[in-house]
Amino acid sequence: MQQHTLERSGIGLRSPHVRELLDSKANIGFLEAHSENYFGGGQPRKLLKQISEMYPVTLHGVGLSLGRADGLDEEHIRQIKSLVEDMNPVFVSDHLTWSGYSHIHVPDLLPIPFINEALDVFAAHVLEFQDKIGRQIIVENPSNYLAFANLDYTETEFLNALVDRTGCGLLLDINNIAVSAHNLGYYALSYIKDIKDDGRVKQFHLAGYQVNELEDGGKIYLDTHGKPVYPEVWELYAYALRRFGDVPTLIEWDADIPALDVLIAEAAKADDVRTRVKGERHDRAA
Amino acid sequence: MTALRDIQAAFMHDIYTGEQTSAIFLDASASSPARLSIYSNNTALGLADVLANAYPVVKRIVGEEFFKTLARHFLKAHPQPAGNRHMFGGDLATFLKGFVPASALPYLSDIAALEWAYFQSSIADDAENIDFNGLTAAMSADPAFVLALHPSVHVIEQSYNALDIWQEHQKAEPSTIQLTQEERTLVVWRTTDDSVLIRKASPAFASLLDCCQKDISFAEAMTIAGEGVHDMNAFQQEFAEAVILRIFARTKKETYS
Repeated sequence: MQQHTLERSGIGLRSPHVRELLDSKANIGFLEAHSENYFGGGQPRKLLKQISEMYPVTLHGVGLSLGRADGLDEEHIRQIKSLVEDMNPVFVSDHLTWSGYSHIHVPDLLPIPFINEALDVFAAHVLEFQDKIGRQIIVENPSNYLAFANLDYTETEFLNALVDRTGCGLLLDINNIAVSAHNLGYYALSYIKDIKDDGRVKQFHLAGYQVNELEDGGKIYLDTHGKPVYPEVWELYAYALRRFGDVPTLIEWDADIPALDVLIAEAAKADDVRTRVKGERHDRAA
Repeated sequence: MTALRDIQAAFMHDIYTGEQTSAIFLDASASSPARLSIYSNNTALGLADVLANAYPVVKRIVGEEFFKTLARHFLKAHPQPAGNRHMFGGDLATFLKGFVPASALPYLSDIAALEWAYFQSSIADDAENIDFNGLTAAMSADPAFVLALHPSVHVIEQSYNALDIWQEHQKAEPSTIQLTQEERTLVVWRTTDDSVLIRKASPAFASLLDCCQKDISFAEAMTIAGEGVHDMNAFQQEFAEAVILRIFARTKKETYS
């Protein structure tokens, strides 16, 4: 496997930017491709291959449904395995969610009830997936719009136990932490503090959210990935860097996709925060 | 049924129906019907986008608003079948045949079948093509050799001149095409430069492709396809052109093990 330090932050690979990224090397650390967009073959796959020859690439899954109660889809795993072999990604990630059950699926990331049975199922699926693709995966915390009753674990307890059982890593989405904390009424800083600090956090995601008013008059924070990173998320990010060290970081932007330069500038802001936090550490050490 | 299965069955049901049966599993202090609806809305919008991406000409013909309505009805009848969202929408041609609001456009189902074949062909798995030299060598090595189709090959039956209408709608300003009823078999596949090709197939050539799909040996497939052919030269030419345009593959797609 290629070794990448990923000291520079990355951006999500979006189709409007592919040509520009191939025409000349952009000033970014890495690119994250949504695995399912490149299933099969043809032109999209060839372009991703070219991208992977110019930039470090990570593969981010949105459809495997690791939390489903009725077993993983073998064909889906076959497609990801094939991509992993072709693209040699730095990380392979997926979500602490589910999106399919009993042959019915949704193009969304659905919440998991943090009960013992769900942990058994999720851990078994992570182990199966890692075994079949022959490498560690990293699992991302979701954005939550509601909560289940009668739970055995908090989300952070569930994530910590998952890592302990499977040896997977974590992808902490700082924006999702902020969104969920607002929606479910907990402290985002406590969430970050509750994740064990032993090298299990392998990557951060940063993105912009949107605040909407619901039909019932309530306020909801939505993880829309359509705006710049909010100041509170930058602050949480700096806190997470202090806790977990200098972890590779990615800017996600999926809706109202801006020009490539805007995304590169957002990634550069993340680099600035990383430099600042590293400086604080050196100051303390001195 | 386990608790997790109960929860997931109820949640999925609610997303596709707009009902709220999963509310009994939720913590009322941090959940509400409006919050549950976020997931239904995300699915409806997401799948409408997926459908629009696969069916640009259908959308163009019926217009934005009608397409939204069509998508809303379609996804309730044919939910996303796999985590790979590119698999969603394959039943639209069949659905349109029974969709009363579209009955004034009887050819729309043919357009949908063509667009689905085109889209699926563009993203089908890659495979190693076989040319004449490879074919000859394979035949010499094994007389029972089965000729495989490239994974991108789709054979579709049409009742109208939908291909002409579809081609016209590739233009910025399409002209009106006279609708005619005619039975056609079309073969759609992706060639080596990744462009998707569409050709009318003769009954004999369609029969050959059908035999290949059924794993009948190439020698027997040619015999079956050649039965009753009046113009053998035309059939051979059609076959030769298809080989040159890389419609056939060396081996069948491997399945995961």
